[in-house]
Amino acid sequence: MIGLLKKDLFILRKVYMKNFFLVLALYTVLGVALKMNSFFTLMSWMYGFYVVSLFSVDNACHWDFYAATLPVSRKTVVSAKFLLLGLCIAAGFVYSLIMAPVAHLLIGEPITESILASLLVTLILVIYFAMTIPLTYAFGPDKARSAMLLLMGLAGGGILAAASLGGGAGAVLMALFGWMETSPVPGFAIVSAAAAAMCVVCWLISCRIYERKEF
Amino acid sequence: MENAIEVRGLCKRYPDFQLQDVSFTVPAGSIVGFIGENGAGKTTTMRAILGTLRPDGGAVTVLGKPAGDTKTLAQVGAVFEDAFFYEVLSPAEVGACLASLQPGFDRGYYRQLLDRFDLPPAKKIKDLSRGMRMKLRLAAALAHHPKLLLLDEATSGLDPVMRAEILDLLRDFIQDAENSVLLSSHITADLEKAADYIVYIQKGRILFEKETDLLLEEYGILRAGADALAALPDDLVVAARANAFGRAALVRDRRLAAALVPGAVLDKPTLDDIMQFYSERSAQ
Repeated sequence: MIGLLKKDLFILRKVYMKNFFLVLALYTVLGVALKMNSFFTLMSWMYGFYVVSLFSVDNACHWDFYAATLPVSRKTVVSAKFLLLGLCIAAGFVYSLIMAPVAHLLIGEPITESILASLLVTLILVIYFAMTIPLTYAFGPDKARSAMLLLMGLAGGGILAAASLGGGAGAVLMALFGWMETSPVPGFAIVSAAAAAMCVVCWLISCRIYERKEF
Repeated sequence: MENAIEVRGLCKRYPDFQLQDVSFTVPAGSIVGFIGENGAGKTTTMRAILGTLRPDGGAVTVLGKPAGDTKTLAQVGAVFEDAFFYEVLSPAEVGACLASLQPGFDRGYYRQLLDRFDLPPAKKIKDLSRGMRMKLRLAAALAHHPKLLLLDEATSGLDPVMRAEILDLLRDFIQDAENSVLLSSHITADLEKAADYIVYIQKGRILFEKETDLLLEEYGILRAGADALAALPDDLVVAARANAFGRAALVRDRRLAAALVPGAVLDKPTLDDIMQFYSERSAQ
């Protein structure tokens, strides 16, 4: 497991180091200049994409075949990717935590609200990227990316459609968001549990797909 | 252990190709050369040996265990032309990763191999020549002191001096009678020098499995007139062809052919000759 993480971290360092600092500086400057807290919460999104892009890198050098010749179980290979994803998204969350006081000073955004917003974005990203991994194992990085965009579009369209219905579905949605604001602890506990459950399900599906693969 | 690898009745079907009842062994303490034309099934067979694909039939055992056993893979070193670490990494970083992946990885020996192969530890793989990349793969495959090496076209892209050095290294490797090598290569001259046995695969079927010395000693190229060749028993002649100087045939028993066609010219074949004649027979 450590060797697999080392390999991916070496690649991330070599391939994305410049991009990482550029995006970090850009998002920080934009967040400060435009006084938009969302720039501080989006680093997790970038870090998640770095991890997803590693699947294309692995494809390019036929890494999965080489890994299958090493004394490493397939479950370990899959687990290493999930762990790396978790670490990278967590790093993005840590950045947003560091920036929460900055947002408070510059924009006047309450620190607790900044942190809760970051946490919510992080949990949604965890679900998004966790779903991306089994799709990538099943269909390859390119098709998985398209499939996830399609899923996101469908989910976004569904929410908008529900909100526009007024009365029934719209009211339920608004009530749900309102409840999250007024009762953050149970609300976040539910979302966190959902994200954790989704990770476990996606990990199990990924392991199953990867076990069946031939290289 | 008598055999490092045992392949019995291996079958694997693809829409456009199939391995059919592939059987052969790699005896412990030997180098086995695996030859065949492009697309004959060498790499597919080697993948089945490593357990990276599931056979449709047959059985493969590696060091006494079923193919793909994770613990057994710790005693195997594999070199394939197109599968390795991403090219932005350096030999030193490759070593750092493998040290955590291979239980028996010997950092000191890896450094020695990098020195021996003149591989700069900090240079990116993409900046190494093709031959140097192959040497790096070999160093990575050897650094955990495996008992079995599987090398797919490991000497391709290397200059003759380096190839000779690698063949020496393989000979040294099998000095330990428990160590074995399965080496697929199109450079058959290397196999003539290093391999104890030759396994020949053609269109997914094993044509023969023979000791190299016996193969080169028994087979012969008979040059004679068409009538003399036509008179030879069918099972003696692999294939015949016409050339500018008359006709030539690959015969399975050089001495028998000499007795049947006295005065004919009989040459010792090379593995290339044998492959070409078998290939022509298959095309006929």
